[in-house]
Amino acid sequence: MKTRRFSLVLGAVMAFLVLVLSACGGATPAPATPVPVEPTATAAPQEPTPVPATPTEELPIPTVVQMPEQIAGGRPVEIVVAGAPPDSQPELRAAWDEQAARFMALYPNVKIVASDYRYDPDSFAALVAANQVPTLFQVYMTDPGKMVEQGVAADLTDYFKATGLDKLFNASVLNIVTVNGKVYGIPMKAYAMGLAYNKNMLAAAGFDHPPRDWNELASMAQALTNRDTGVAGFTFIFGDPKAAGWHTTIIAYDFGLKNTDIVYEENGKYKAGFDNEAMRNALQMIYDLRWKYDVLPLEANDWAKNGEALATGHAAMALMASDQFIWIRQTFADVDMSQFAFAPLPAGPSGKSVSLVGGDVAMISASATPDQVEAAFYFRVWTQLDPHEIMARYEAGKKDPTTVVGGPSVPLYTDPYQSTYAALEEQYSNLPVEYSLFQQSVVSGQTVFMIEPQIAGQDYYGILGPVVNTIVTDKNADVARLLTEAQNTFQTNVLDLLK
Amino acid sequence: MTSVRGILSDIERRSIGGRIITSFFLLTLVVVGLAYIFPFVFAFTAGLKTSSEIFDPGLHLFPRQAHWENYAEAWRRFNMTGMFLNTIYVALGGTIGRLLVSAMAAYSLSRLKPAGQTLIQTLILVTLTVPMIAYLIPLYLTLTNLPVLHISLINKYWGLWLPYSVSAFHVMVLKNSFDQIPQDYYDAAAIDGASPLRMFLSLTLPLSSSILLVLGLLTFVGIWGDFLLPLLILRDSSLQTVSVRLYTLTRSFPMNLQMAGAFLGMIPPALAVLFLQRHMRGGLTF
Amino acid sequence: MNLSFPIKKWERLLQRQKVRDQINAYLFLLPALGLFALFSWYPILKTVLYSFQKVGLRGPAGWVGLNNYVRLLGNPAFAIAWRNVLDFVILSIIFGFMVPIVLALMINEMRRYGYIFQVVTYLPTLIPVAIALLVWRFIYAPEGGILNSTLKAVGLPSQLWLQNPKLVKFSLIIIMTWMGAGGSVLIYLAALKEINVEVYEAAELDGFSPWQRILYITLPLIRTRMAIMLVLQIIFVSQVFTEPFILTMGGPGNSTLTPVLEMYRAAFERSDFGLASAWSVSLLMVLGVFSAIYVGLTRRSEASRFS
Repeated sequence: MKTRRFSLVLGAVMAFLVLVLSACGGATPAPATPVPVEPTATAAPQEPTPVPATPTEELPIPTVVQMPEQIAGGRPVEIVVAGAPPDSQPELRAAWDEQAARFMALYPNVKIVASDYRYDPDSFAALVAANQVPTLFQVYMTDPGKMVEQGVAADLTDYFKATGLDKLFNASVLNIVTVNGKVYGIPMKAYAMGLAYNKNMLAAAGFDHPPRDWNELASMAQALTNRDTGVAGFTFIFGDPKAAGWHTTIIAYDFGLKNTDIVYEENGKYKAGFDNEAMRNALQMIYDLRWKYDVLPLEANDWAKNGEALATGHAAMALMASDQFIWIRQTFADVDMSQFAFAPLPAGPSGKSVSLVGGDVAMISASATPDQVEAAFYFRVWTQLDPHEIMARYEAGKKDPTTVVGGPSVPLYTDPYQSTYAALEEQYSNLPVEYSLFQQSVVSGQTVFMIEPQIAGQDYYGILGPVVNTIVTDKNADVARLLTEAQNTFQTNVLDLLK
Repeated sequence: MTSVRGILSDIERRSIGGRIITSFFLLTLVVVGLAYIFPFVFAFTAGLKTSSEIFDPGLHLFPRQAHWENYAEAWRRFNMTGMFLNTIYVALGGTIGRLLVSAMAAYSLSRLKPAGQTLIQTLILVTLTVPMIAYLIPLYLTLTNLPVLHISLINKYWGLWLPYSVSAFHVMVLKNSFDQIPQDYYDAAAIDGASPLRMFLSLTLPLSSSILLVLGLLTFVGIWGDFLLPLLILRDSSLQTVSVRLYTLTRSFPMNLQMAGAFLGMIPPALAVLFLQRHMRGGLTF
Repeated sequence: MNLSFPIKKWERLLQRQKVRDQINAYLFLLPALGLFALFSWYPILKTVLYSFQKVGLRGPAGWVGLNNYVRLLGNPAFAIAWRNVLDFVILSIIFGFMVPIVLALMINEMRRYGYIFQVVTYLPTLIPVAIALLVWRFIYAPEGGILNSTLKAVGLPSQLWLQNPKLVKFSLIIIMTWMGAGGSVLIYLAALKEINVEVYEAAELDGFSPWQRILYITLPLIRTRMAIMLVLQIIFVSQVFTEPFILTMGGPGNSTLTPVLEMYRAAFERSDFGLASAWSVSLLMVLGVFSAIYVGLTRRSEASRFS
């Protein structure tokens, strides 16, 4: 509390000095730079994480966003920001509070109220219904699309254009939150799907590279599976229906399925078309993996169990999202992360491998007032892109044992900023997972990014999931028949009744 | 009241047949008891392991190396004392509210024969048929803005105590229990000129003390572990309960710390169970 | 003629007394009625209304008549889920209903140690569900799980407890019995302790064997308690959600799909609250009919008691 008040006083002093200086005929600070930090004022011994004394130009990362002089025309604005670390992580929380204080010092009319709410589907629905969603909140994995669809995220297109952020972010990442040309969120982190594997296990079995196609994957997995010690050669999600449908679709994409096959329009009506050769081949491969090669884990799994299998050494290879390594590092703190690597998925019949992009996104509540939207937008952008704040975050993260930096990811921004950003992240990275193969594949175009089915996607996953689960648990499963039935159900029970 | 005995008398127990039966019972209970204690012990020792060790196949009840610091860490990050007090407050208020409301309703349905009794009982029982998660959202909306009074119960303990006081289960079980009390007792009291309230307080409640105690304990422990409603209703982290803390803890902490924290959170209700069980001794008490 | 006047006076007195009784009855009911109305009946009613609307995260967005029900009934998952519930209920009655009663009887006989076992059976309710299910996951694990390791040690083949569609429901019922027994044991114990022990003494003197005493004295005396517990068990088992959700996720291949699981998915995974409400209404109707029958039966038995 003392440090917080001190920061406020500091901010006030700084603001006053700036006003005085500018009144004395000095150049008014250009809107491009944030309020300049007086070196003397920041040498305060009491602040545990001081704003670095180096001037902005000397920081390893450039400024890319112009912060406005005033937010909401100086009117008082209050925003609730979710995602503040709970007080079980006091160091992080202190850093967060200080950051908020710095922002409030920059814009005294803005009041930031911290909330340690973290998104989870049950409680979120209740909050939306009661109009109590925090102004600024974060959404993970495959849910940003859902938020947009349901109309709970505010339209930020104008702000993106005004700050030039629509050009700064990587297009495929921005795609996740763009509908009909409008942008509804600020991507914080992006991930891609790929093949995670345990280098040591592969080396012990005599392999020096991950599988390049699915047949190679099957034979490698066979060599890696050991039922006596409980090791499965390969794992992907086949338990939780929604996630199972998602993973299976990715595999099917690899085998040639296109998202336009899943649902397409014909004579003004929606038609399902995923009962095709590509999907059948993918399902047959899954069947073989289970019953012919016997390489899959036996237990029904979900997102968490899938990652856990790799982390605890019960799976040698896993179809996984690149950011799950962070979760692994946090949940299994004692596991040696340098034994893992990330590669592109094995290539399909076309010779290319496929990946999906997803991300963690910051969104602003659609029921916020325009002033609140402005304040929340700039707060998020400032914490994410202001050079001093970036450095402060890295420094604070170094001291906290639960903070994980680095690991395989998809480029969040465009070059040249991306290269600088990636280099900086690399310096602070504490996640020694090797992913050069994946990167090269993306850069060379060997890995192609596809998008998820856009119409009734969730229903589609929910119907495909049990099909995969049956294939994996019932030796007598008739793959073709199950697939046809699933498509029929999807057609008659979902698409035909779409309102 | 004669000596405490069960179906078998003391003499029978000493006979050969009696010994066989009681030994058999003891053995069964011990085996069942072990099956019950095992997960408890597992949760405790999991807190002492490393995170990946927890998932090792096979029965490794004891860690390779006991990491006692996990418990210290969980305790430190947890801020236990404050959370415990909050949770006791919530659970106690909810238990009292539920017992009071349910007992009064059960008494009315059992003895006072209100008109439309069958309809009311059916309506009450019907609320059991739908799990709370089904109407969570309308329920939450009601709590944010009570009809007629237009007050918000968010961030107040009443926002938990009031919904917790609603329990069709308690009403039905208590009604069933009250039904067992012979009408003669009431008739005798009526002759003495007792009002229905007097009969309730001096007759019904004392005679049902054991079931009330049981239900009270069940409620207390149930509320202790409930997390969805407190998560939604209590906004200030200073008011939060243990189960919600556990939930936030599971977000970014290693598995073994999660287990340690969970075990620590179990201790107060376990203590409550231990102490209150002592009182569940006699039958009809006056 | 002389008689009519006192009769009328009595009638009037009785009327006033009846009204007073009714007022008393309703006074005691008032807190419950008020709270039930606010926090149960009103939200449930809203849910029923939602089932006729298209409801997303932002709330109701227009009436769609029976569209949600058409989708509900046309989905093969509906029939599957309810068939699964039937299986669960039957299994729970066979394997789960008598367990707490038997345990309570045994514990009641233990003079000195009964208290310990009382506490022990109650422990599962204290454990956070997620952890309890984690433990059971290890017990049932197909490779290296405790059960299978034990089976292998005695030369029996290991089973796929949670992966074999024929076994999985049984495995889940065991878990549910394990978790729910403690509370039921306590409730039965309370009933057992209320039995006047002199009845046993008399029966012993009359030459009844212990088994006969249980059959003819104990069980009949706790008959109504057993009935209400049975009804409650059926209602709760029909709403099974947590075990399929965390352990089997509705699998293998839909064999542990339940109405509440489907309802949860519709609501919180697809934000389709209209469909979720339709599921809730199906629960309401099936179990509501069941509850009404129960109340009607008890009413009849009560009436016969006083006639």
